[in-house]
Amino acid sequence: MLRLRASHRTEIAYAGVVHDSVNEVRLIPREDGRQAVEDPYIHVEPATDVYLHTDAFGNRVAWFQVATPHHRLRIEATAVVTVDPAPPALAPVAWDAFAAPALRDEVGEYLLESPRVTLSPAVEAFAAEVDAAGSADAVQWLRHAERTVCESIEYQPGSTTVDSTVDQLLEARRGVCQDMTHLFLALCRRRGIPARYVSGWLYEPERTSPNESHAWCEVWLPGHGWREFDPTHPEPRLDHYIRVGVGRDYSDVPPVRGHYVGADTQEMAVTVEIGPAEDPARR
Amino acid sequence: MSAMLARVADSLYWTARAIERADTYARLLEVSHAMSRESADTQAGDRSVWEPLVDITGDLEAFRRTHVHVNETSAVWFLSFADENPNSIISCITRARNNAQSVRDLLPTEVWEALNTVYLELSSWPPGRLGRGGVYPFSRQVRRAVHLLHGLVDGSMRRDATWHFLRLGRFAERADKVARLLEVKYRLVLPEEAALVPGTEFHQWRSLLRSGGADEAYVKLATGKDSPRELVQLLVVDDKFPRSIVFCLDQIAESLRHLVWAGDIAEAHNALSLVAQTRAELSRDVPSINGSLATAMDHVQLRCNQIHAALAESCFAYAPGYEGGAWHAQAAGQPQN
Amino acid sequence: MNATLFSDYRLAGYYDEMFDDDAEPRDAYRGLFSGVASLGSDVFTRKTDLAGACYLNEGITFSHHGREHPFPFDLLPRLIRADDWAWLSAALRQRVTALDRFCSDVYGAQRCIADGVVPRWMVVSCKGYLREMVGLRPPKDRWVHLAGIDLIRDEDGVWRVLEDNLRTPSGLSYVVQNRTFMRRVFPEAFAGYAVRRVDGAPIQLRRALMQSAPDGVADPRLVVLTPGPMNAAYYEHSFLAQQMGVPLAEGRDLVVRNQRVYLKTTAGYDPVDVIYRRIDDAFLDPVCLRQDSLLGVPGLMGVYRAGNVALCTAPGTGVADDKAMYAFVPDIIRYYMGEEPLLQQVPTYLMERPDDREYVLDNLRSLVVKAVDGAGGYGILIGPHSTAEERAEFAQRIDDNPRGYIAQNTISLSRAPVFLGGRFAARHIDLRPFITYGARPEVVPGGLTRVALKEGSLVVNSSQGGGSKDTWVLER
Repeated sequence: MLRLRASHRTEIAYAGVVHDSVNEVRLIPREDGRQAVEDPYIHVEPATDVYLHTDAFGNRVAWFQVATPHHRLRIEATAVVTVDPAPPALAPVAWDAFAAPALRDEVGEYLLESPRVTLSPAVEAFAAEVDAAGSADAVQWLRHAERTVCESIEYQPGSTTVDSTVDQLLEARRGVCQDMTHLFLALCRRRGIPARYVSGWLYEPERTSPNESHAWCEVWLPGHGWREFDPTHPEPRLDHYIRVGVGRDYSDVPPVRGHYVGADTQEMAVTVEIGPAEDPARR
Repeated sequence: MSAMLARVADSLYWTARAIERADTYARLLEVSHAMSRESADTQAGDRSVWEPLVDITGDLEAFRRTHVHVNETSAVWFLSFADENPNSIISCITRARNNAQSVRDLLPTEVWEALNTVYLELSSWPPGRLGRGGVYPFSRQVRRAVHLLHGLVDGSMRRDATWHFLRLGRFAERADKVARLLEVKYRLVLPEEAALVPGTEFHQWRSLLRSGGADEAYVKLATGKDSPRELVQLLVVDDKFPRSIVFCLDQIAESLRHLVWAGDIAEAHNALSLVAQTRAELSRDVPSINGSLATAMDHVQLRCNQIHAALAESCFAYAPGYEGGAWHAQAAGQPQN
Repeated sequence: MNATLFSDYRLAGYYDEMFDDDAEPRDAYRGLFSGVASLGSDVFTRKTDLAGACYLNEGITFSHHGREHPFPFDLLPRLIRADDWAWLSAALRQRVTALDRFCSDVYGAQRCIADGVVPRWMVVSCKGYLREMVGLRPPKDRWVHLAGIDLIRDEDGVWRVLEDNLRTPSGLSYVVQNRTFMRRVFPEAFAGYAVRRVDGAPIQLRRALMQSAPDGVADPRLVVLTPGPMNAAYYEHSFLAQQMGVPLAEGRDLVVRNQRVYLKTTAGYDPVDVIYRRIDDAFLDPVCLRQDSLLGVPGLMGVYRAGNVALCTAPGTGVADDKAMYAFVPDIIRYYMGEEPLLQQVPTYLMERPDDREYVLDNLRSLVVKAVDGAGGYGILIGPHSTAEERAEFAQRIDDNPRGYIAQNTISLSRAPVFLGGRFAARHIDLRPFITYGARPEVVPGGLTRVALKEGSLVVNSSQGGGSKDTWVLER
């Protein structure tokens, strides 16, 4: 069992003075699945009151306003997260299991198209490639789809923007985890498999460069519940994944979204730091 | 009942300014047209009548961007129906009507109807008809509509904030335009430039009166000498004449004081002291015509701009658009890797 | 019925509001009939023109394809007997109360889902289901502050609900103004009639809005929030603001500070407690809804969540007036009210149910198909009036998106005489009564009777060539 201390820092510098900045941030890790969270904390500069609520997907949301004129905005989120070891390997799941009408009433919203996951002709064409291999059961198909997305899309930071669509991704065949996740979601939903977007952080102890935000998928498997798939890193090392937000797609869980009045944004930097938390007994 | 929306107050103010501007330009067009008829020499007419006319509107530069020569056709078009001129009469009426539409709930129905009617009537004018003999009917139609509007506003509205913001707009605009008229016309008839307009000095002065809507008032007052001094007296410092600068300033001050007193605005200190200062400057300097009238009027226009800015600061500071700054989505780029 | 003005009038087997099956005026209409029959065609034409001029002068127009049109008005009023109205009012109060409770439940405890009244799938797949409202409790737990319920009468004169309009229904200004102009141009029509007044409707709405203010606000400050003069219903926004005596604000006139909403006035920031908003859910707040919205107020939903402002109607009520959810409303009424629904509905087929779908695809010619999120008479297939091509197109659309469509039996809407081309002709009509809901639901004693001006047409929407009639609820 891993106990990790995570901090996520967003620093925005504006080209001039701005005011009436209102923001919603989803930066507090979830307390469900295999995760426990201690001491979640959101700090904003310039200092202001932060109000918390829980959204329709069970994500913790912090709302704040900085009304007074400012030139920079800094949002820091910290928490200690304990992640259980990975669950047992998946047994095959028959395709019939997804035909049960009850599935729609349990997790129906993850079967539908959503703002960023649309079943366009380009998705259909790509899905045909994936399906060509054939599959005896759904788990096998999912693993294959996960790998196909990973191999067909070149992982290249900066090649897409936060607003890129799945069609643009399929056109360029380059993108980041967010894009690959959206594509994977589209493939699943097209086959009638409920699938949702997870935004979170990845603990990579061997990594020398700073950690980053990450996005992956959870798929609803009858008999298993929600299970992780990651088209960016197929068959992931699950006890290193910290789940922060879940939703139908990115638009439900942007880490920061908001609105302000004044100058343009000059620069935005996001830093994620994750490391082993000190033993609670020694605190 | 608490104070009015700042945006609405701003709309009312600019509605009244646009109406007043349309009226001023209609008069100018009419007088210029009559003058040009009396001048035999077309080229001299262009230089003595039409160019100063466009100059008075302050849009000569904008005019030159789209036209080579200032002559009767181009000047009349530019001031009447030119969409590209934001200060043409049609643009002013359209703006006033659209502004009024957004504050319809505050205006008496008849005021809205009168404005809507003149807008619809002018929109249906075939512009080609404004050539020979068309200027007078056009101008008269605009002037009558404006008179009707003033009558309805003053005759049917409570003297509440709505009425005061309309009055501020009307008189801020009028003061500024009278000063502008005097400045340009006076520059034109300075002795050293008189050669350009031989034999027209007296003619120019009377036309100026007519442009300012002051001709008849002047005749009643005049001692028979037709002296520029009395004329300037009437248009600048006569506090009983509703088209004089001082009268306009008094109206502005009165409305501001009323708005403060009623709690509709927090304070108007800067605007009020500017008005008082301008008034004092005028009573001191202007009546002596000593060659500095153009300069003095230039100064009055500067003061008018300052008064407008101070007034906006007192009344519209909270209106959207005055606070400055565009709306932005926060952190528009935070792709997840 | 042999007066000249009615000489071409035919009942043709429909339920007629004015005449019984023997072509005799119904009791309530008798005085009106003899009054109208004594007028010449020219007099009635002149009065009609005069009414048209009233609308134009007031600027009561609607935008259609970017052009302003006056709202056509028919001078012969539609009458509703006092006993009919008493029953209708009770039925409407029952329905709106249930729909309000349903909204509260769907975004709160979801008892109706747990108890199997409404499938969870129907809720989450609904376009009007607003996830930002989950867990949010509006002031006084009031959701539906103004409802417009579209009613029709079938072949037998039985009242049925055609659809519910909970999201900022428009038309209340027409109810008031139709009566004003009626009294102005046709005062003699009122002789012998005691008609319930409708000019109190804006005050009734204001009372409901004030009663829905956040707890502990003694003297609530109310504003009307409009998208601005470009909106097709701007006249109504400005009319209601004026009649309620409150400011008409645009989003940019409001600002959020310290979890409160303020109005930007000439004297500074003025707190606001209740917002009667006429902008759509998605545009209310760019922080958490549509980010490109320039119509809303950044941070508004944060204030709302804190309980410091009432938004009327509450965001998210689209989940209850969805055309597929309509099929569940009778059960919703039974569940929350513990009583049988008073109003009949139109038999409805859900394209999601394979049996229903098969039946509908086999019988498109005789049914009406509607997009569940359509409005204003758009996205509708009227089977009996459709071409084979249109039916094929709708069949395809249903196959592609079954959740997006419903079908209903074609109901022959009742008809009433409408003055057209110098004579009265029979046209189909409906009725949109308005229900305000503050402390309790109250029905405005009147309503908007809409008329399909095209012969035989069943579509009464103003955007589709519909007109209106004054609606008289009789005192006795």
